[in-house]
Amino acid sequence: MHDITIHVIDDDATFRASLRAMLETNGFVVIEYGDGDAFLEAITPSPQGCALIDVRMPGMDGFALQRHLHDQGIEIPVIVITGAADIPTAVRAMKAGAVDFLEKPFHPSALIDAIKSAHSRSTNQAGSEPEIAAFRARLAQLTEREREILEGIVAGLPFKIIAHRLGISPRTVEVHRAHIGEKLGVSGLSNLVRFALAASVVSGPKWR
Amino acid sequence: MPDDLKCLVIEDGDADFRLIEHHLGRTGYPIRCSRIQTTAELAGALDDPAWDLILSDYNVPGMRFETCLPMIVARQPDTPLVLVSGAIGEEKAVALLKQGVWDFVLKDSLERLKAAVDYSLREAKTRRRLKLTETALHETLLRFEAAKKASGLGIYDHDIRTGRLDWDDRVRELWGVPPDEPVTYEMFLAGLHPEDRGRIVAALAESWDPRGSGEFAVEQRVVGLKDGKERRIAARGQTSFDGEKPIRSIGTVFDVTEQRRTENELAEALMEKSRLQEAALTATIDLYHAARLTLLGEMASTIAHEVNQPISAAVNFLHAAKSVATDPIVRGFLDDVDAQLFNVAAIVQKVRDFAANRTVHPAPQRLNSIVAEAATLGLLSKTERDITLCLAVPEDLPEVLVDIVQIRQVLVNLIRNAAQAMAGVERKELTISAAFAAERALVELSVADTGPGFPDEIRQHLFTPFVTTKPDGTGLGLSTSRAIIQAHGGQLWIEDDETGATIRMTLPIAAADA
Repeated sequence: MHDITIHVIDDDATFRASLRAMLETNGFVVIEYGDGDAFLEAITPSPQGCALIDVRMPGMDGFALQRHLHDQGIEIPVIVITGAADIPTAVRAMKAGAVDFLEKPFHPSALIDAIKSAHSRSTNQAGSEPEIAAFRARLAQLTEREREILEGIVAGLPFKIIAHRLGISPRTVEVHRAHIGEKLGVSGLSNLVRFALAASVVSGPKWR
Repeated sequence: MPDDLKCLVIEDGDADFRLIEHHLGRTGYPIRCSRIQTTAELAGALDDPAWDLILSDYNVPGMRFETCLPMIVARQPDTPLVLVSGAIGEEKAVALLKQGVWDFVLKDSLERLKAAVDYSLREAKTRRRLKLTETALHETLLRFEAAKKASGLGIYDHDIRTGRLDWDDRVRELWGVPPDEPVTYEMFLAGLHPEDRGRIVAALAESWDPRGSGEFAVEQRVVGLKDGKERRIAARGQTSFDGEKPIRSIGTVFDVTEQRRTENELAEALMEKSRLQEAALTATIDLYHAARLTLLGEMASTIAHEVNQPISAAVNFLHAAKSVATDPIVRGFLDDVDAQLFNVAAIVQKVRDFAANRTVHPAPQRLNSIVAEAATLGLLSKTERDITLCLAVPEDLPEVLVDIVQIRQVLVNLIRNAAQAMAGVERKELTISAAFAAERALVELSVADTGPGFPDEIRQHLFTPFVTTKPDGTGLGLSTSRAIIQAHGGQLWIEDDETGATIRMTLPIAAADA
């Protein structure tokens, strides 16, 4: 038993119930909220556990909720769940302080891994200082083009826009991104963005 | 039976009068004589215009013939006047003839009266005919000149044997030759536009060929020798021949500069109109096509999204079940369900990829032309004519990086929405404005109407697919628009109050380095 409290903020009651069933059988404690307001009302200043937030909700959406949490100084690891993942959405979520980003439908084990890893870290921390330092060191291995593309991704631009501005095909951008991940030793878009943000990779002048 | 000839006789002597009457009677003409012998009587008699003949004595007491003669000639110029008198000197006779006397008969040879009357009547008839002809000719000339002037026709006459060219004032005006200067063939050539010269000379030579029709019909450019002005001149002529020899060519010239210019303008206007119509049609077809594709894509994406939701829930429930299931057979079945669910998820992912990949083909575009096109297309229908359109899209905006067909569709959607929203309000103003936000490297565009804004219960669902306020709407307009803008890396949001609704969006600029 983990005894980790999971705050599920999603407007879809069925989905909330399914998460509860799956997480509770895996030893987590689940509290459900139908919208962001309900969560903000109930949450204590230093909450335990972690929050699963759906991006697409009527009224206050996931990004707005993240902003409220940040503005109110509430520190809780946030995992963002979305029905339609694209790079700009992922980057926005990560920049807003999410520790992970999952696209529906995800494998339950992926969510459980994300929760465990989020819980073991402090909020909005990509990894330990040595991990970030290692990531920063590996950044030097990137070619100029790969570095440009990484900065474009961090700027939250769609691949097609990045491709156009660099005068290459979106497919090539995709290949570059895979290489970037390999060189930097991170898997998945959310890890890439999280580490890049932690290592202060900023969107270069080309992407402003 | 012809009327009697009316004869006026100026004679004081009774015997002489009777003698004259007697001889007149022997001329064979039916003649009626009236006799007068004073100047007063003459003045009265000349009021009667019907005299066919006037016979006058030279010496009538109280009447000086030299005084009476001009009076008669002035008032009855066409009536033959025959002097019947005693002998007069030859010099006198010549002087009187010059002054208007037609003939002389001496009183001592009155038998010659018949010849004098014959001659006078014949001459009078000839003179009358000549006069009629002159009048008719004069009239014809007057009409011709008037017609020439009104039509602007110029006339030339070329005596080919002597080479003499006769041009009227209009031809001289067009060529720039002063009215008093003799016209030469060199002047004619010099006035022709150099590029037309060869062609005209050839056509002229052909019209002089006796084997041909002799017709000459050309259109040429003439550069005025005096004003240097270029005119288009149409010329038509006809050569006459003496056997095998061309002798004369007469024809007209006409300034068609204005006519051709008008024709060209008309043709250009027609072409421009058809070009615009074609462009509008193409744009409409593009728009329709894009709208349908986008709608399909959006539906695919929306359905995929909606299906993902229950799949995700099912996967979660399944794993909860697997966690608690102990029977190995049940666990095997649950694994099978798990595999099938992921098959479904993979299919959905493929549909979503299709929907996503179909979308954006960005290229640098000028926003003001897209906005202008969209406004034209969006406000095409009659009901939207009373909307005041205000475009505030600066010319010098940096180019935006967009898929032109999609962005145009978004704008047309928004413009149509705005137009429909303003259907019931008094003030109908549609404002489309754009500004460059340099620090964010994007352009912000807004479409603002003066409609009632969105109802509260609708505002929450504005971006929810399949929710619509319109009876025939798909409920994909705004959500599609936002999906398109987001696919371009921009944002789309709404601001509204009771004075109207404003849709704002951001678009990436093309040249980030600029």
